[in-house]
Amino acid sequence: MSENIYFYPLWTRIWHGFNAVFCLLLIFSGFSLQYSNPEFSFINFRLAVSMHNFSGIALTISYLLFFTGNIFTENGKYYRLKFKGLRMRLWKQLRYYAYGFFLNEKSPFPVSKTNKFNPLQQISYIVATYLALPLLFVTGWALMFPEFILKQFLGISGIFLTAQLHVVMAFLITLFLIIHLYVSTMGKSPLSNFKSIITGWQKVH
Amino acid sequence: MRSKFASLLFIFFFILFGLVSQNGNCKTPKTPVQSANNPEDSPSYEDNQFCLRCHASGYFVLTSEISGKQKKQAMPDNFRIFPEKFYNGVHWQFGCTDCHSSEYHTFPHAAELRFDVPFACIDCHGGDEATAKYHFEEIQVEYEKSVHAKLPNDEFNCWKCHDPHSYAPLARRDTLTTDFVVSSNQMCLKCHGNFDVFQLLSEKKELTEVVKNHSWLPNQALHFRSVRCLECHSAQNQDILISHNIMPKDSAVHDCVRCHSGNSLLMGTLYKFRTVESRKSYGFVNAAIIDNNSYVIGANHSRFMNISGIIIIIMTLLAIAIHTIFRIRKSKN
Repeated sequence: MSENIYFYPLWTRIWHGFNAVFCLLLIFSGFSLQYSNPEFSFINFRLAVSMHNFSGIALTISYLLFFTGNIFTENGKYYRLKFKGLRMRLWKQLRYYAYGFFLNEKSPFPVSKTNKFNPLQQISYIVATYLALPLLFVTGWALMFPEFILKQFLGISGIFLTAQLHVVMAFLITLFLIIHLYVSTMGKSPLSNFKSIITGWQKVH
Repeated sequence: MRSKFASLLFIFFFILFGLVSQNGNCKTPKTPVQSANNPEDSPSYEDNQFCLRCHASGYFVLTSEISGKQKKQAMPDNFRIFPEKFYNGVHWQFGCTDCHSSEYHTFPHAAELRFDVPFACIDCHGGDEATAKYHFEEIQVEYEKSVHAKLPNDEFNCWKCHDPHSYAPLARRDTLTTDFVVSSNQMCLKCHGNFDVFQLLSEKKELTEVVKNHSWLPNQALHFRSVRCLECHSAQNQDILISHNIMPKDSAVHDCVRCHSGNSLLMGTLYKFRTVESRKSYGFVNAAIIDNNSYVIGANHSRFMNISGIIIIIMTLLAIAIHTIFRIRKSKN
């Protein structure tokens, strides 16, 4: 027996939409800037600079609204990690994705009103939203105003460290996006999760 | 949980300090230090004192031939000599009259002396073995192609940019500080940033509107602080450190990726001296820029990170492809 749950309130869907658009713009423009080449430009350099700056500012605002929303609404509870038994829960979920899923085993952490994310989703969302994204914002804004960056930190160029941290975090977010998109196809049907994030309704068993 | 956090913290600092110690072990060429010269060691010291009595001062004294009255007059900035700069410059052992007419010993100086054609660098340094490594002949050839050489009446000369009374080589050093960029740009801005000075050579006022003319440049202030005008406005020459072929705006570099790319133009201009020392180190492309506590988007990326990134992405896509194949097989069964 399956039931329809209103899973994603309007504000989280709007935030998710903005997040998706700006993250993609940042990834494409950032990649183009990092590997710019006089012979071949993925995106024109000046356009890529404007695109990256604009999307970065917009994503920061969107993130701050999401962060505030998570403090003042119930949505925040899905991002609170319970450490007790975490390793076992992660293993169970990983085993299910890699093995049990193909044997038609039941999901160890089925989606419900109280259980929005499985342990793997939860930890990856927490790392992405509460670690990688804030670090990206801090380093990104610092690179927009490099005069405020420390000249040297422990003997290493401050601006160089900032840029490297920005690139590494951007890479992690890109990797997260690839995996996130793929795992999203593992719903009831390959497109059901995508429909849910648009309509807000999720069909659960 | 605390012990796990402590372990992670330890690993983080281990990596961080590892990086630091790796950096510390790298041998970077030492900056040649130019020691301060003792002015009295100059063979021309005594003779120069005669001129410097007035030219090192903010004023000079005029005496009326009729009344005998004396009056202080301000020494114009372009006739002012700073002894500490002069005696630390490359020409510190020279006497004033080695380059200027001995008739300057007469005061007030004859107005006609203003029409003396000053020496150019090539007049002394051309064919000079002691300064052969600076390739003055090549510099002269490049200068002749320059937009500056095209000014009418030979109005332009070496001294419009280089002050022979304080000249010290700035580019031949390992660390390129902001001061170096500022000093270099000051040479250009002395005229291009001040129409009063510029109109002694040309009436094209628009060529002094530097900020407006570069409004197309993203992060203009940052560029002005970090790179020299020469980076975009001079042609490159393999044999000399700084090409003296200064190009007008139509021929100057406008394409951002000429600098912001793996094969960055900056390595042949701003970082040329260091580039000769090492183009790649620590596995970073254009490492000389990083050595200078700088970072240029597009020009600096790590080979190690590039390769690891590609491997991780390929492995992820491979895992997704395998998972998808199993899913398709499962759905068929």
